[in-house]
Amino acid sequence: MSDMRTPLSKVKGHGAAREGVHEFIAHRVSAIILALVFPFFLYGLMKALPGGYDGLIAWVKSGFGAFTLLIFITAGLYHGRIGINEVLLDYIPSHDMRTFLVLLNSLVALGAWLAGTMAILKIWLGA
Amino acid sequence: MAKGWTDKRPMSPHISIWKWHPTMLSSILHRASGIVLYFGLLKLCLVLALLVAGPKWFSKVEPLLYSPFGAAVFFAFCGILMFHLLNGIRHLVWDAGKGFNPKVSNTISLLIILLAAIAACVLTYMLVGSFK
Repeated sequence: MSDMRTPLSKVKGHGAAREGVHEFIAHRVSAIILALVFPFFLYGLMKALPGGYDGLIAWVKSGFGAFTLLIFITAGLYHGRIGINEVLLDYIPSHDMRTFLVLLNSLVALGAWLAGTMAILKIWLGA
Repeated sequence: MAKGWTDKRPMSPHISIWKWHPTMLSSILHRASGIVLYFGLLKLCLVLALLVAGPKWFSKVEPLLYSPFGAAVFFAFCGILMFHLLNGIRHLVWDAGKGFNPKVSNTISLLIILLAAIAACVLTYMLVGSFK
């Protein structure tokens, strides 16, 4: 295969990162997981909400409910983080602002995931 | 177009040059609904954290959750979630290289929006009904 790159492009060194496909696939895989777990999430939520505090606690305390919620927020925040990143990369014009928001997005997603999973585990396992 | 766009390449997706049609609308709504759902997930994590903090803390948001406003929020999130789910499944079908016929695509787009609205109505009706 002949070399299609210009000398300038070689000097600049901005080739393909060869990792972009990872996010594309991860986005779709997490989408499939979410679609599969969604019916269980909806059923559990509809059953738990009328019970108020006790109803919600009972939902999380049941192993199945805890499992449903853990998968839902893990796949959901992962999926959401990639999606929001995509929107930020598409529409934020300033490079500095874009970098800041992408970082902020990752930290918010990670923070929410930690808070959510820790809450579920604490209620479920009753620490 | 956003101000201060310094990249020489055009901004994508090219909202300003697209003709509006149902599939385009559903594509835009997919992004918009995704952004809203992200905040919904953050809210879910917050509610879980409040649950763990105990009834004293949870009771501070409970009146808001179980108010007409709470029902309206539930309705909105139901519709948005159902739309994103159905349209997401369609996106997976697109990724598989199927379903690109413009006419069929437009019809399915409208169908998805309609189904999401109906599902939101039914689910909200069921939930509010189960409170009594």
